[in-house]
Amino acid sequence: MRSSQPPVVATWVLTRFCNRNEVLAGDLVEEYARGRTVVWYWRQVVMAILVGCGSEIRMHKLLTVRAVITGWAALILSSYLITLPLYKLYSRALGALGLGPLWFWWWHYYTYPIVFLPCVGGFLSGWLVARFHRTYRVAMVTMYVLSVALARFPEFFRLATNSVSNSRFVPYLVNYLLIESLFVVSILLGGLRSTNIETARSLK
Amino acid sequence: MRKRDYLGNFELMVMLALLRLGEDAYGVPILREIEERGGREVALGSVYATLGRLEEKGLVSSKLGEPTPERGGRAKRYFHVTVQGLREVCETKRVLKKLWQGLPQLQGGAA
Repeated sequence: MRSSQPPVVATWVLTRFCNRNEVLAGDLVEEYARGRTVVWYWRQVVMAILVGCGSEIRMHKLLTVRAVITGWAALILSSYLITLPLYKLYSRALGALGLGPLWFWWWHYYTYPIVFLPCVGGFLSGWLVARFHRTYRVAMVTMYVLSVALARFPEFFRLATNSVSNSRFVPYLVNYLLIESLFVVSILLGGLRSTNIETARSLK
Repeated sequence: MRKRDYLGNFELMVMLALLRLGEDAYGVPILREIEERGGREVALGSVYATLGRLEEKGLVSSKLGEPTPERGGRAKRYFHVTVQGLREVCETKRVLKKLWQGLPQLQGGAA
């Protein structure tokens, strides 16, 4: 049975990830009340986000380049200033406790936290990109994430082709995918953390 | 010859919908107008992206209405075509008309 209320999650996604979100959400709510389906509502939300991002990137190419450079600079800096020192500190702490060196994160439960260390840099870089490009933060963070995914693609391709020819590489591929997925999620969470001022701006 | 941007297909459709709707041109009626006359489903996001582009070009202007309960307390954004926008629509029509003329393939509505 069709609910009289529009899908709450879809509306939340729209208001978080789309510019002109309040006006557009209002239009969607109005149309939904006139008998449109849940599928239509979700399709409109997804299309609004995709079209909005694409349009903003096309219209602000220089800003997009700046966002990608900002993200990568923050990522490189944070890896030297935060991730690496944290890794060394954790490694020393384990050594002091008489626990083995950190070779592979999945060997022992106490090595699991190192998988999250790069996520600190990811979160910070995502947050910075969104912070410096508030008006177009979704499009800019998306482009930055795409650039990160593109940079990681050769290694993924190497592992994937190796895994096809030799199953010995499958765990490495799975490990790589898991770490990279966590990393991408951390960037997106960083982007989401940035304040949503566009809502207030669209209501002015 | 001076360089200029002509209105795209969808941009022109949105501009014409705005002109048809007059004072009541906001997201939902614009969407309906294009869907009913165009005969295909249109994404509201595409309409807003196009309106944003047209607004940046100065062809369209907008103002925010009052929030209403049937929209979950959200306001409508009303759009209207500027003088420059109207000029652009007329210019696009003139150019298209000139391109249309004298094409045997398009005679008698066969195409």
